[in-house]
Amino acid sequence: MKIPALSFDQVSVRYEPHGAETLSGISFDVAAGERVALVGLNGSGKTTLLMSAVGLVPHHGEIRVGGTPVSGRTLPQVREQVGFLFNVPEDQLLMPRVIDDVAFGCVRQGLPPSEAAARAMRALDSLAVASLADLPVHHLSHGQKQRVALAGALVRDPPLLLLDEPSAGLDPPGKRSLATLLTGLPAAMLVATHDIEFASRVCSRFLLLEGGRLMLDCPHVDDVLRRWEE
Amino acid sequence: MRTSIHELWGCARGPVGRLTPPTRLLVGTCVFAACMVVPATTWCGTLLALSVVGTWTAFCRPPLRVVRVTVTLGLVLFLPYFALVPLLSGGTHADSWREAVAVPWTILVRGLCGMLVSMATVASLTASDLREAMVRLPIPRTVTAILLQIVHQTATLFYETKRVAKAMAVRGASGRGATGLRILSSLPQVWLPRVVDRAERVSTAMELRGFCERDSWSFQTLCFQLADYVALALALGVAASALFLRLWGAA
Repeated sequence: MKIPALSFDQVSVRYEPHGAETLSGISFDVAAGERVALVGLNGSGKTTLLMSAVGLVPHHGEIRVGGTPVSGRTLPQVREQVGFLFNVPEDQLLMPRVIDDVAFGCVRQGLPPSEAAARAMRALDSLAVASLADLPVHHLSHGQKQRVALAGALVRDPPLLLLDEPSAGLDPPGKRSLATLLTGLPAAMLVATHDIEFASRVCSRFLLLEGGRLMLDCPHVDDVLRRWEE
Repeated sequence: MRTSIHELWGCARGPVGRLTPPTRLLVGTCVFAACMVVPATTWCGTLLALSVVGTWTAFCRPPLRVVRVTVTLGLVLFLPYFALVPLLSGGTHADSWREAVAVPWTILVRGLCGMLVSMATVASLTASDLREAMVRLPIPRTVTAILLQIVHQTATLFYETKRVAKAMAVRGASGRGATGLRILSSLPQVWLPRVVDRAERVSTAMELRGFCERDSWSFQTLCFQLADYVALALALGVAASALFLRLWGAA
């Protein structure tokens, strides 16, 4: 049996010891190469779920990334396997120059600077932002920052991508090309989004979160829309 | 075009650009140290400080407007200390006046020179150059990571502050006098929570991306040239001269 790229087993998250649960009893698997959309209204727990998968929020239950359980000791191993896009892209842009930020993941892995820069350029080119390579990151628009942050997540070719609102701030052609790019990648991905049209282009399975609970796990976006109309 | 404070980084257009970033940072540090050590109450000391600062600034060649603003700010900050001379003198003897003037004079020379050297050094380094310089110097990696993020996030916060100010203006929160004061006093309530929230999110991203894990990471292959060694030798010579003048004066 193939090991899932990501698995949640009865996972709950509570930010305050006696507060309400932000996530409650979540269980699902994402198979290797599978593209899954995580949809839900504002405050339904999508971002918390993504963050818990890389150990950024404490959780109960078991989360495994590529078979490795997510715990304090395994975090470096887990994070090596994941490309993560935050919902505010400028938070994750840590370098002053675009090319340096995208290349950072490769340099950190020990690749020589020239090879890291070449890979970064390829990642930027795939998102049609190669012309921004030498610009300071704070000179970019929101949509450009989104693409640069995404390039930083894709550059290492991780087996699992966790993307929080990847289409936010992109223009319609940008969304289309991003959808084409993501569908061509071999990585498994969990895409948290409000953008149902984008999700239906990219993903073949839909998870619906409501109030921190997984209410629906279905292969058709129509089921999600029907549920929202009820 | 106006140059805002964070755009000062890398705005110099002088021959200093031929030196590698670590050399620029080290030379700037040596010149700064010389200015702080030199005895400003002697002609030799003052002359050394002013000539070294003038040479370094000319070598970096930051925009004239930036130099003018730095000098003006320095004078505004340090000249008022001369108003304390009558209080410090405590008598009418010429020696007593000379000793009293020496205090604000030293503050003026060191302060102004320090500001000019810092400005010229900052102008000679882009934010990327600063990182390349710091990762090659024996500085603890946490200090390097924090300093680099301070520089990087300052620019981002600057733009965020501008956006907040524009939003406040559009929503009618602008004015002079009492209204202006009210806006100014409420600004921390708007601004500080955003800064704290942002700092938390950035630290999460730093943790996830492994920003502090490795000892050093560089995106450039730097090669030290003869010019770098000459510049470093001159800077060390200047620092040694300043130290000598200080010790010689004391003796």
